[in-house]
Amino acid sequence: MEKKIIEVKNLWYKYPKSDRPALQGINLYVKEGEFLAIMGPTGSGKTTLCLSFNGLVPQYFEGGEYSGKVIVNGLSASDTPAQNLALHVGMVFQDFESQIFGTIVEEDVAFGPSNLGLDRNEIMERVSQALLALRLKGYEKRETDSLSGGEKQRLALAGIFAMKAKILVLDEPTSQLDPFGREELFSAIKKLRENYKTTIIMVEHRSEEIAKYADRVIIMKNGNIALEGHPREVFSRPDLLDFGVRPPQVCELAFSLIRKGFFPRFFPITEDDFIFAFPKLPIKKKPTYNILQEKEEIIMVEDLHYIYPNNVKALNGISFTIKKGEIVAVIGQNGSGKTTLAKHLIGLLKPTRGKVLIKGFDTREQTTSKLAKIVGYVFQNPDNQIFANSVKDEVAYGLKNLKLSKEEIEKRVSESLKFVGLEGFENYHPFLLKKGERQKVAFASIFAMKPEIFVVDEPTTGQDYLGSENMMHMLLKLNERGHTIIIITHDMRVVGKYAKRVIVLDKGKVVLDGNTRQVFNEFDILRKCYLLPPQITRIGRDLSFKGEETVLTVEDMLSRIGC
Amino acid sequence: MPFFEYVQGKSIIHKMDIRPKILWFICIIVLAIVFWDLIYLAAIFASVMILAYIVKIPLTKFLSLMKILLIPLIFIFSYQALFYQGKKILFYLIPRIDNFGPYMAITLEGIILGLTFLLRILIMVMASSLLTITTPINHFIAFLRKFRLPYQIAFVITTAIRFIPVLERDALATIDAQKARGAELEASKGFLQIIKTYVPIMIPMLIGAIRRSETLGMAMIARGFGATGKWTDFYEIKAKKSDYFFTFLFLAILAFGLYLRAMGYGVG
Repeated sequence: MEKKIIEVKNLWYKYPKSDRPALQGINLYVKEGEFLAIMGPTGSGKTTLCLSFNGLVPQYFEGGEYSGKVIVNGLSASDTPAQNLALHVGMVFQDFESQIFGTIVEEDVAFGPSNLGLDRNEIMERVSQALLALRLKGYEKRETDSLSGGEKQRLALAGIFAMKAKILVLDEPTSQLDPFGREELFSAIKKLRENYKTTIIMVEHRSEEIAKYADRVIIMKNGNIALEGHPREVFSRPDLLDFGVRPPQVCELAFSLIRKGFFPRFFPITEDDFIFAFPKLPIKKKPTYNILQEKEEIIMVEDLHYIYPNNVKALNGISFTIKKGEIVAVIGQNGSGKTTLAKHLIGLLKPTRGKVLIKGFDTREQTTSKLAKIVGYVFQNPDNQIFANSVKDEVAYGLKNLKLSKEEIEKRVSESLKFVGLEGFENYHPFLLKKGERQKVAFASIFAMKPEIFVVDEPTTGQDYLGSENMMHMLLKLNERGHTIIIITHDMRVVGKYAKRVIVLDKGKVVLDGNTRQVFNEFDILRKCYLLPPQITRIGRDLSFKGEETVLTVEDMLSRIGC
Repeated sequence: MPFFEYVQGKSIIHKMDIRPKILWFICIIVLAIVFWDLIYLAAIFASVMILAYIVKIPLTKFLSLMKILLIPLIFIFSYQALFYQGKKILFYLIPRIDNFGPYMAITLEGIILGLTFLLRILIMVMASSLLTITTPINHFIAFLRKFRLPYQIAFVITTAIRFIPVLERDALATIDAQKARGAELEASKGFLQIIKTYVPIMIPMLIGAIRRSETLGMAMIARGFGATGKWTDFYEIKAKKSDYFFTFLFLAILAFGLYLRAMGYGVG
């Protein structure tokens, strides 16, 4: 474990046409066989640092300014051709879709070894080894396009693994994955470390798994390493949020307990730690009841079936109603039908059988552009919709489609930009904004249409701590103003904290539908759907909080413990 | 074009090496061109349909293909039937009325010729569809590599094909997103209007494709593309014993067919 496999010395890097260096004097080493996690807010230089390990920074970008040194396995990363460094450092990029080259699984895994001009038998051997290591055995002849997100992610990893690099760099590998896909990825990585002593460097926003698996964490801020240490050291800092990183819920709970005068035997960073850290807690049992107000029904889904043109049955008889002012989370593993269901709410898809009524309107008889006045659909990726030359025009697009007057459009545009916090950005070019800001532009463009219902697809995916916090606060504010909110998400912390009601989908059916407490109490059913309640709920479970006592948030837990 | 897309399967034709398969394809096309006799063409067509049955091409696929072909087939058939100057007149489309007509004779020869063309087109379409349905794209590329296609080009072809569905999904996501903002894509009239409606779709797609190609370029390097200047083909086409048999069989059929034709059979 002692050999330093990567050494970074006073590394500065400025991208071409950028006004601020992305890396500002990084000093870092990585030990052989180590699992190093890189965390920090968006734009802090995490990806750039990763690209410097395999030489793409500075080699891929013409005209950047580079100084300092990166030594990988004894080679200078800036001077060794990146193609050759690939033998030492394998990198999996965030957008896994764009790094799959083959149409067939085995062909894709073979791409790297083929480039090395290896013997065919050797390639075959490596392909089957890589597929086995990443738990994709039996997938050899599958078409790459037919794989799920989690499988594609592991395929990208297998393709890199087949290069037999000793160092694997993964840039936000879990952001698109459901809880099950995440678990699969982490256990595959664990296996790689056990069997091949692979060095792992991973960029990640979520701290829970990092706390469990990583040996060391660095937290970056403005191109610098702001914090560094063992996960326990880093996550036990009370000021962690100031660095734009949220610790696991168990740490948040520990902080609160310490503030109330309960001192742990050691600082817990995983859920298994908790009981040992706080063995004696006064536990008060008092159930919490949700009071549902009777209000008019705004969405009615009745025996909804949907079959895609390629004969895939996506929805098999879904029924529920949503009342005005509710805030509902729809959860389920990838492919369970969440997005298909959501698209029915705005008429992008029409029922094969059954019906969907929005404020009494049958979606089969309405065009999407008509329904868009009632239902605002915020898509996950803002880049799928941004096209205009200015933020102002982008937000105005929907309003022009509604054929509003010029004055009204101007009024609404400035209202919306104010709401999302982009005042003064009216004349900016949206493509030049940061990802988080583009997300806000996309949100503003829906907000401006003043829909009564908001359907939001993965509001927190790929966002850093501040970004997701911001998004959820906007949704809460809308909910307080009486809007109905429906979120589709994998982020169980968000569900526990914000949703009043949860609908669980599995294989196109509603498996659970109830208030969040009832749903998160059903551990076994959720497990069968490959879902897992948030960490705080699981800790609560260990302390035998069940049924109406099920814990949803850290605050919830504190009130149970008699604080 | 779902009826030309590769479908995985275990039929004897799926397992056949691509070379005898392409030979079969050439054999069918040549025979369909040299023979003019309806009976001969019907026999060739029947042989193709028997193979289609063995491969288990779903009937729905066949029907959807026919739906697309229907109009051109009717057109070709009627063109031959109407304008071929045959001798055995069956009836006139415009009969004699007093001194007027008769015009537009439909002759037996015309109808037979129409049917000939019809069958010929059906044979060619079905044979192509059969070839592509049973052969994955990388076998075609491996075949071309045998003719010294540079691996860089082979790579570009594979990658382009791999990204078609990805770009299609991106496009659909963009269309959905703009519809959700009230875009009425169907209602646009006139050229300028259409361009105006489609700008909000084309731009995000283009930008998205550029972003993807950026990652793609980096990912290629990360997989060592060009590291050694060498390249090993993963798929190598290998002939089994049965493939030699098929090669011989198809060559024999082709030779026999050409011999028959040279002897003056099947001219129609």
